[in-house]
Formats: sequence, C-alpha cells, structure tokens
Amino acid sequence: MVDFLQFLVAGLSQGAIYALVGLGFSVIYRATHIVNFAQGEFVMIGGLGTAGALSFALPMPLAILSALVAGCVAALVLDLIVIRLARFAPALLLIIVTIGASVALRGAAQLAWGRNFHSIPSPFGSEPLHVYGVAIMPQVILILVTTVGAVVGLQWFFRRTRFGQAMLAAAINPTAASLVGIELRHVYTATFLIAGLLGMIAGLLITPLAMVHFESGLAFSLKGFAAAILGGLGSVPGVVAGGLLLGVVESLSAGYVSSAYKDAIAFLLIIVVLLTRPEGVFGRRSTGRV
Amino acid sequence: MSGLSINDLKVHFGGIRALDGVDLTFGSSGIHALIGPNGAGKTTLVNAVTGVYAPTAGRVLFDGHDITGLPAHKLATLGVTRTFQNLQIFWTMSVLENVLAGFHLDSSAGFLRGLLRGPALVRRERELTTAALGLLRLVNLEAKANNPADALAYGELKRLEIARALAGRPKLLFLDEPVAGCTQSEKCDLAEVIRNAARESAVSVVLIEHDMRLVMAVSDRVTVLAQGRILSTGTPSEVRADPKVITAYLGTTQSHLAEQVHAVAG
Amino acid sequence: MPFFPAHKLPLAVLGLVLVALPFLFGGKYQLSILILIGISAIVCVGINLLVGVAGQISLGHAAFFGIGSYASAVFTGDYGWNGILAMFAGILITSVLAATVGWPILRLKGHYLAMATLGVGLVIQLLLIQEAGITGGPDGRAVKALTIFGLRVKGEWAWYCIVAGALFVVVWGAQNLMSSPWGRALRALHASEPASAAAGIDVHQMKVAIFAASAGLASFAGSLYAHALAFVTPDQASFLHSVEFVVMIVVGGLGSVYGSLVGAAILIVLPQVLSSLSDYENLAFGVLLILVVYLLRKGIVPTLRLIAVGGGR
Ligand SMILES: Nc1ncnc2c1ncn2[C@@H]1O[C@H](COP(=O)(O)OP(=O)(O)O)[C@@H](O)[C@H]1O
Ligand SMILES: [Mg+2]
Repeated sequence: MVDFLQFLVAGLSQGAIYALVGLGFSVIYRATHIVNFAQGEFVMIGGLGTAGALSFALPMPLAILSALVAGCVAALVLDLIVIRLARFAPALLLIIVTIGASVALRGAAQLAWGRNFHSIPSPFGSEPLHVYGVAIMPQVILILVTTVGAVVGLQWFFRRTRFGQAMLAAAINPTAASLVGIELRHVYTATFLIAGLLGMIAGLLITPLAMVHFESGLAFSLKGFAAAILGGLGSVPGVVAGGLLLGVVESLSAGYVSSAYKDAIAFLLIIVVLLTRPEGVFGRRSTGRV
Repeated sequence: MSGLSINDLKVHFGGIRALDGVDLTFGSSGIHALIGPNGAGKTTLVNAVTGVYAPTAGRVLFDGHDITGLPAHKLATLGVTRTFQNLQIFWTMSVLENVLAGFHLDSSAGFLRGLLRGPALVRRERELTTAALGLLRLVNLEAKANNPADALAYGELKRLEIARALAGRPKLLFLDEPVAGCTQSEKCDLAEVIRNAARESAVSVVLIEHDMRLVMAVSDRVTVLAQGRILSTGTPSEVRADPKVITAYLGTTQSHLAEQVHAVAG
Repeated sequence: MPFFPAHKLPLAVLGLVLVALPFLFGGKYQLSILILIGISAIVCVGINLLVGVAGQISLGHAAFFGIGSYASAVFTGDYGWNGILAMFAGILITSVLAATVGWPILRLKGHYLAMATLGVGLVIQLLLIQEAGITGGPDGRAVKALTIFGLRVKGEWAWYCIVAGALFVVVWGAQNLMSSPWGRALRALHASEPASAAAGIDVHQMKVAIFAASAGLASFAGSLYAHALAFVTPDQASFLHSVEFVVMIVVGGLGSVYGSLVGAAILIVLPQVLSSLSDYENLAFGVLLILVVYLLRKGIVPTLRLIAVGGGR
C-alpha cells in the first residue's frame, strides 16, 4: 500500500508536468490547428535557462526571469514563423516546420548553455517529508500546487477575461471573430506566449528533481503530445486528465512491471485508448459529414 | 425481390432524428425522385443506405440481400453507387483520371499487377480510357478530359461526378442534387443523360432534386420527405395533387419551392 | 498522352545518373555517402507512397528499418542463415507486423494516426534496446558481411552497385505502381475517401497494404544498411530517424518518387557539410529546414517541375 502510494505520488507529479506541456500543445492546437512539436523545448529552456543564469551567480528570481525572457523571445519567433505558413501549408508541412524549430532551439540552447546536464535547487530543499510512510519531496507538492494554480488560472483567463474570451471565439470561428474586430494576429501571438509559459513553468518545476540538458526537450514533446491526444487535443480538463493518467501509468508500470518498459507500456496504453476512442478519451465524437 | 427496399429506417444524431422510420421501395428500373425541404433527411437517407452512416435502426434489402450497414465499397460491388451533394472530387487528378477511378472494379487493380505493369494491364487501361472518354462525352466534358479537376466550374464538377458514378456500371444509382449549379440548358442535357442511363443501361436512379420542373418531367415515381418521415409517395401527378404536399411546401419558408410546385401543379 | 510510357524517360535518366555518380564521386568517403543516400532513398520511396500519395502520416517507419537491420544481424550472426534469406525473412516479419499493427491504427486519422505510429515506433525501439541478449542492447552489435552466391560483398564499389541496382528496381516498381489502377486508387483515397469507397475501392485495405509494403521496403533498406556498415544500433529505429525520413520526402516533394531521392540526398549530405560548423550544426540545420519548407512549399522536385512547365509555355 505504501509502495502504491509512493508510486502514485511520483506518477501524479510527473503527470502534472506532462499535463502542463500537453496544455501548451492544446492551446496552440485549438487556436491554430497546428501541432507544435517544439513545445518540449520550452521545458528545456525554462530549466536550462535558469540553471545557466544561476551559474553566473544571478539571484534565483533574476535567473528565472532571464529564462522566461529567453523563452518568450523563442515563442515570439516561433509564432512569427509558423503562423505565416499556417495559412497555406498542409498539416504535415507545419509539423516539419515545428520540428525544424525545435532542432534550431536545441542548437541555440547548446550554444548558450553548453552540452552539460544542469540542475536547479528546490526552494524548499531536498529533505523528503514523510506522510503515512510515504516519502514526499517538498518540490512534488510545489509541482502539484503550481499545476493546479496554472490550470485554474488558464480556465479563469479563457472564461473570465475579455481577451481570453476573444481567443476562444477566434479559435472556434476565426472569420467571424475577425469580423467582430478581434485582432487575430494578437490572438496567435498570445497563444504562443501562453504555450511557451506553460512549458517553461513545467521546466522550472521539474528541473530540481530531474537534470536537464539541451536535448531534454524532445522527450517532453512526445509525452506532452501524448497527454494532449489522450485528452482529445481540445479540452483543458481532458488534457490535464490525460497528462496525469500518463504519469501514473508510467510510474505504476515502472514500479510493478518493469522500469525498462515503462515508456512502452505508456505508449501501448495510448494506442489502445485511441483505438477504442479514436478522438481521445475526452474528445467529442462526431459523424463526418459528406 | 429485385430493387431496393427500406424498412423502418432510422438515423439519429444525438437528439436530431434525421430519419425517423422510413419505409420505401425502389424498383429495379426507372427514375424515382426524392424531394423535400432542406434538412428533410434526403442526404441522410442516401448516406445510410450507401454505407456512409450506420443506421440507428431498420433494415435495407437490395435484390433480396440484407445490405444494412454494409460498407460503401462492398455496396459498389453489388452495383449500388452514388454522387455527393457536397462535391467529392479527386482534386489532385485530371478529369479523365477521375472517371477512370470510377472504373476501379473493372480495372486490373491488383498490387502485383500494378507493380509489374504488364501488357494486359496496359491494354485494359486503354480500353477503360476509351470508355471513360465516352462517358465524358455523355456529360459534355470530353474536351476537358486532360484538364486538372480543380480547374472545372461547379456545374462541370457535378457532371463529372455523374460520369464517375456511371463508370461503376451501377444497378442502383443515387444522384444527390446532381444539377445544382448548372444552367437551364445544361439541366435539360443532364435530364436526358439521366433518362438514357435509366432506360438503356437499366439503372434504377434515385434522384434528389429541388427543380420541380425537372423532377416532374423525368420521374416515374416521386417521394416527398419532410422532417425525417415520408409525407407522400406516388406518381408525379398523384404527389402533385396531394394536399399534404402542397400545405407542407406552402408552410415552409422555401417559397421558391412552393411556387414551383404551384407552377407545375397549376 | 496517358499511354506513352512517359515514366520511362526519367527512369533512363536515373539509370545514367546512377552509373555516372561513382565516376564523378569515386572517393571511398564519397562512395560511402552515396550508399547512405541510396539506402535512405529506398525507404523514402515507400514512405512517400504512404504519406505523400495515400496521405497517411507515419512517424514510426524507422522502427521497421530497425527491424530489418536487426533481422539481418541476428539471423546471419546467431543462426548462420544466408544473408539473402535473412533479408527476406526480415521483410516478411516486418510486413506482417506492420499489417497487423496497421489494421487497427490506420482507422485513425491525422494527428491521432501520427501519435499511434510514433508510439509503435517507440515501443519497437525500446524492445531493440532492452532485449540486449538478442540485440546487443543500446550499444548495438556487429553484423556479418553479406555473401551472395558464395561471394563476399566487400568494399564501397561493390556496395554502391548493389544499392544503386536495388534503388533502380524500387523506383521502377514505384513508377509502375503510380501509373497503375492501384496507384490511382491510392491517390483517390487521399483526395476523397467517401468517393473512393463509392467507386468500389476498399479504402482501409489499401491503407493497410501500402503501410505494410512501405514497412517491408524500409526493412529491406535496413538489411542493406546493416550489412553495408557491418554494425547496427537502436538509433536506426529512433523517433528522430523516423522524422528524418519524413523530412526527406517533404523536402524532396510529397507524392513525387524522384523527390524522395532528391530529399534523401540533401538530408544525408547536409549534415556532413554542416558538421564542419560543430557547435552551430543543430541551429543551422533547424534554420535551413524551416527555410526549405518556406521557400519550396511543394518540395524541390514538384517545384522544379512547375518551373519547367511554366517555362515551356
Ligand atoms: N453528420 C451529421 N451529424 C449531425 N447531424 C446531421 C449529420 N448529417 C445530417 N444531420 C442533420 O440531419 C438532418 C437532415 O439533414 P440532410 O439529410 O442533410 O437533409 P437534406 O439532404 O434533406 O437537406 C439535418 O437536421 C442535419 O442537420
Ligand atoms: Mg441534402
């Protein structure tokens, strides 16, 4: 039982990270119908950027700020490149462009921060708490709380703020939205910034527990995409559930089956889920019209 | 029993009852028109019979076989095919290739044969090309055979779909608003094509059409669908005289239809 | 005219180019690059039929390449099979596996299909890494030399001839297929599935067939690779390698058989050139990739064809 709880906690915190990355995929997909495979690079930038700045003896808040600035610049550039193409290019081309962007970001990170593994200290230290025999790192609690905060904040932004609602409207019907005066360019830019921030938050949260280096982004892209697909790409609660499910399944299979095959089990689960629910667990089913 | 018989067919989309218990038979020859206001369920009926939608309930028999829920490509081998109200064109191909694709079941379409591309295949392709050009002549598109399909006008694309469907040598052919977007003279030509197909190639045609003049002129039987149910069915003159039909059409906002019914009935 | 064998002319040109290349670039290193290009091109021809022509995304084909590599390595190394037999066993295993996996997942569309193929690829690669007893684990394993009719294939020249010959046959077959009713049906289902089905095309069966065929072709190329380099590693089955194949066909031209060759050539040569940039390699490669998609949206070969047709008027 203690084992199980231990695995569950580990899975939930890993899953929360996947959920944040998946939300980045989802936000961009909803607004632009682009699957942005560079999404995981923001996780890398968040972690590596902060670690890099810390190595110049910057205080933590400034280090985080510098990483966020770097990531936002990357998001803006990405927006500029991808959105220009999105008007005429088919989906596969856009996937290739985002992959190109992710390779370029990896290359830039390598130039800026080198090829070594880096970590950043947790603000709450590395002494685990013991709750009913389950060892919990304080950072894990921070991950869960921050993720909940980010999701609530995102929902609040989309539901309650004028700009957020405009973004939703533009996602549902861009033509109509631009007719009522919503500036689509700004919407897209904001979308990429939000997605970038979500990824960087994930990076800041996970780096105290798992080291990053310039090639770490790809794994997060794959897991985040998987989480988003499980959630049906569109819905915020769906993607969060998808991410948590992925993290927990991975952790339980590592604990009970085989740590070597945890990724295989997770991806097999996704395939099985897709076969029974071809539009994701939480995706809406529809009959294609002809 | 030859021809198509539909028993208590229902298609529901969530709360929408697009078809709500339809009983209908189409004979093995002749032209049977299916009319009714937009949203009546005409296209849904075609989709449910031709394997695009799975019916919620009901049974469909063709020449005595139960074909309920059979996939479209199986139906094609039985001789049931269709055109689409919302164009389904092979945009990346030439006009001729679109029709050749319609000959799929008649062509040497095996993987290995294609890989080796032997003389038999080349000969068959030549024969099919002649046949395809003949069909294109029938719908007055022969001159554009080698144009890319995406260079055609709307009415031409509609006719291309008819030629492609005829290439399958159907026994039962559904034409979903085939002359929409055509000029009056093109419509007359197409009416002729449809009539010839029905008569000479012994195709049973189910024609969905809003142009009442055309419907009344070419059809052997007419069925009126409204809100997923059959309102009336019979010969053109019977349906024309059916008070339910006239009220239904007058009751809708589709006044141009009502006018047409009047004009023809008048 | 549709029945003038127009596809024979480019094929003749390809033959000439394949004969001329080793005389122009005859160095050991240059030949080894040409061999790599040829092997990748074989894979790309298959993937292009699947992705470019039939419109079904796959982000997992490197795994099939990997299975071919390892089948050759294991069957010749551990079981003493003849190399050709091992190669065909690999093709058979891969095609059957791809058909079995493809049957359910090819009902998915677009991004969902991309996810599923990606997952299949990752699972296969993980198996190759973890089953170290058979595969040699993450570090890979050595592969015996290929013997054909008792003769050991040795040296770059011999390998070039084999790969070039194989590529020529593959292109010939793909061209035939593309101008056959089967190829027409493949293009048709990409353009409209409902209309294809109404014409009697078994859309799902065709998708599975081309998925399995392209996987078999990748496996064949993987076998050639394993013998030619005398070594295999699980990296050959990685997600990034799968992506590389897709990038090749996008750069060369989706749906264009010859585009597959051009794309493979560029994507193999480019990193060699860029490696002189050492730390800037990734950045430069990423930026170039974006630029190519930007400037040549349709891919290189179709763009050139458009220019040629436009200029001819
Ligand atoms: N794929 C679908 N999903 C949901 N509703 C549908 C679908 N297809 C048709 N409908 C609904 O079914 C009803 C009948 O539509 P349709 O058959 O297209 O009418 P018609 O062809 O007579 O104009 C309409 O209310 C339409 O909105
Ligand atoms: Mg309709």
